[in-house]
Amino acid sequence: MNRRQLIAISGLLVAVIAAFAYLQLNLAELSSARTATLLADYLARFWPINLGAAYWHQLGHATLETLAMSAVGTLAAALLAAVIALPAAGKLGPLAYLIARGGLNLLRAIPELVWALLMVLAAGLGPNAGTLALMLHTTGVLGRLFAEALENTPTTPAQALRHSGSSATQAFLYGTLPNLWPQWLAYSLYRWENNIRMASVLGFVGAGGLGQMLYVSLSLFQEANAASVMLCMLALVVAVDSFSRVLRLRWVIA
Amino acid sequence: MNTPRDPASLPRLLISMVALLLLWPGLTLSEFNPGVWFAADNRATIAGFLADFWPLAHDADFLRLVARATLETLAMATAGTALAFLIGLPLALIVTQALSRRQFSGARTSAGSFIRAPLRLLLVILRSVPEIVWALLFVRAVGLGPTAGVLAIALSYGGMLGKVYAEIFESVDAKPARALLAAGSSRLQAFGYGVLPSAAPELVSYSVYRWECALRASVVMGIVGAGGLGQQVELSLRLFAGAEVASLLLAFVLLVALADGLSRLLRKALLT
Amino acid sequence: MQLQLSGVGFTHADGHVALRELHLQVAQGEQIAIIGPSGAGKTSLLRLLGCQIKPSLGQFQLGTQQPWQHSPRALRALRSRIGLIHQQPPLPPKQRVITAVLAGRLGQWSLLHSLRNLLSPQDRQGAETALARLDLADKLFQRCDQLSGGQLQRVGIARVLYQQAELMLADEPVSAMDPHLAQHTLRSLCAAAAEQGSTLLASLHTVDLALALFPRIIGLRDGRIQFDLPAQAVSPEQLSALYANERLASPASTALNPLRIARC
Repeated sequence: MNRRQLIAISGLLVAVIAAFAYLQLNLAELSSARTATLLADYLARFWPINLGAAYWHQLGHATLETLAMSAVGTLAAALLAAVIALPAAGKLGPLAYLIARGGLNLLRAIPELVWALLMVLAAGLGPNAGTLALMLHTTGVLGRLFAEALENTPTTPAQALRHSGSSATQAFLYGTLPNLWPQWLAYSLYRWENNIRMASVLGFVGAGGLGQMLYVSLSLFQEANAASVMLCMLALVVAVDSFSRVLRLRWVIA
Repeated sequence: MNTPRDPASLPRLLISMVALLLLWPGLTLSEFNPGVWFAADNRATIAGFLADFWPLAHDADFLRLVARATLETLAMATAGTALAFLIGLPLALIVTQALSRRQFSGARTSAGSFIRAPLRLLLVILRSVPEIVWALLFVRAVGLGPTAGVLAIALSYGGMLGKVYAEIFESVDAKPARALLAAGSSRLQAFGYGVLPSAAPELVSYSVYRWECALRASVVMGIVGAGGLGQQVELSLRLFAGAEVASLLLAFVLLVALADGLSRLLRKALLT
Repeated sequence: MQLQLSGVGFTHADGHVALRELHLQVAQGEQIAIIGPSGAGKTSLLRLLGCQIKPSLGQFQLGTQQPWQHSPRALRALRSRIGLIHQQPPLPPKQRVITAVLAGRLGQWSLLHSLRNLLSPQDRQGAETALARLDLADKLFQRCDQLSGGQLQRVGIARVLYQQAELMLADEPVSAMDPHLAQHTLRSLCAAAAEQGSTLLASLHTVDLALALFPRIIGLRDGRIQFDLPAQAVSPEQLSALYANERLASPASTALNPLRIARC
């Protein structure tokens, strides 16, 4: 271990201690028997989970809504990102490059939940706000990834097509896109996975989906309902993970 | 000459039809409509709100508030990641196959696998529930404030670190650890001398990356009442104070940029 | 398409002189092989004839026009009548053979038609006919990254055949094929060019093939035309002078070079 590592590690330790001190977190109390019983009591209220048919009907709708929000948000973002990727990869001149990159950075820097807060103000409560929030943040993320993929795609196929008389658009479609779209698809699916998780919590600020049900049931101290919602969330996340893994194997690796 | 049918045309047609069939309920359920931005009454509200962004709120009281919230966010991320490390590392040591003794005894199953299976499930549950859901639960359990945020990060990131650490241990060269285990050393000794030296760079790099993620997460945790900048953002938004919102957004764009720089610095210091 | 070079020279941006003082007349429908050691300027000459690079000196006339005095639009129209066959066909690895071949006519298609064709290949018959000439009809629906180097070169040729280019320019079109297949493929290319009435210029590193299949041979060395003769009139002395001092390994190594297709 050299001196630099020693300094870094002691710095880390100091930072951790300072963090605990600043937050006045009392680890001894947190791990005490009293806290444990308190948490156990709280946890016990989640059991038995609500299995009522009427409630699950409602849950099913909210699950579909979450799914729809994430899918439509990701799809809209992918379409927007595909358009912005061209200037952001420097294909349309330096001014367009700067504007596109700046815009993407701004979209990406603001987290989905903050976008959702803003969208609830701008568009009202409900899934539309959540979908728009997902779209905005995801456009920032995908736009940058798409642009990087575009920059790294070999240009010779498109060049060759231009040399035999095709237009720039045609050369892009036949020379660049075939190499590009599997990567774009992979990035979009990866983001979709992420967005399903996000869509299930955007409801905390009123932007629709499962999160809204969780928030409401916890606020009304209906822990049994909350447990059902969380079960749905888990199932949704696991299902989407496996689905997108299958798609990736089929389209990207093959 | 009879040209064969394009084998891709049927799958393409089917995929497009399925996509279209799914798109309609998707659009209905998500109520997707960016048109609301441009509806006459909304346009005025949004324009007014945006116009309020400049000049940024910068009176001394507010700045002090922002500074305190920023520090709180940083502290939440740091303390949460530290706790997550304390949860993740032991779990990883238990569930990893890299330190399994089964390979010597030749037994099909061992006591170890009976312990490992439920712990693996625990890791899956810890990390599959989004951190902000943990935060919401802890806010109900231990009350408003940063403690809930720290615990939320500790649990969900503990689950992720546990899984990824175990994978890292399994990916390094297994021969040194196996030799040590065969020579009768304990699991912990075998880890310290056989696995850790070659796994350390990846462990450090992943942990630092997680800290960065924790920072981004703590920024928004406040929205459900778990302290930090998010709580301020929500408050200012509810008050419709555009200038304050703008200052706060700027603060956390800067914070994320700072985290980026800090983590790069840390990685460089620790890995060279 | 006939073409004419008078006093044409080309200098690369780095100052390297690739072509010097070329005088050349090619009539409509002629078939010409360009031979010479590596670095002689064969590729530069073909690129110049294909309107890819602008001559630094002299006059270049294609058909009845001087291409570099055209508007970009007219230049595009002119280029759509020129077909280029590359030594390493620049085909996207994930594209299907049929789409790669049909892309030959992009210059003649509207944007709408190219879009529709991308979703569902329209002229399967045409693509198959072009591929069948090169014994590749069975690869119609395969993806380019599933083909060998020699097969890819033939797909590149099929694209130009489908394009029905009036001027075909081939740069080492058969370098990745074994001698037997190379001869068969070149013969098909020459026959197709003759049928379509296209002018064909091909650079080749195998002199025997050039002498056997092409009526007119141009020997290029150091950017200059050493000889421009009917095939029967080329003497062994001229050939050894053309290739003098060239390291023997280089033509062989181009032949064995595996085709490098960019993968993502």
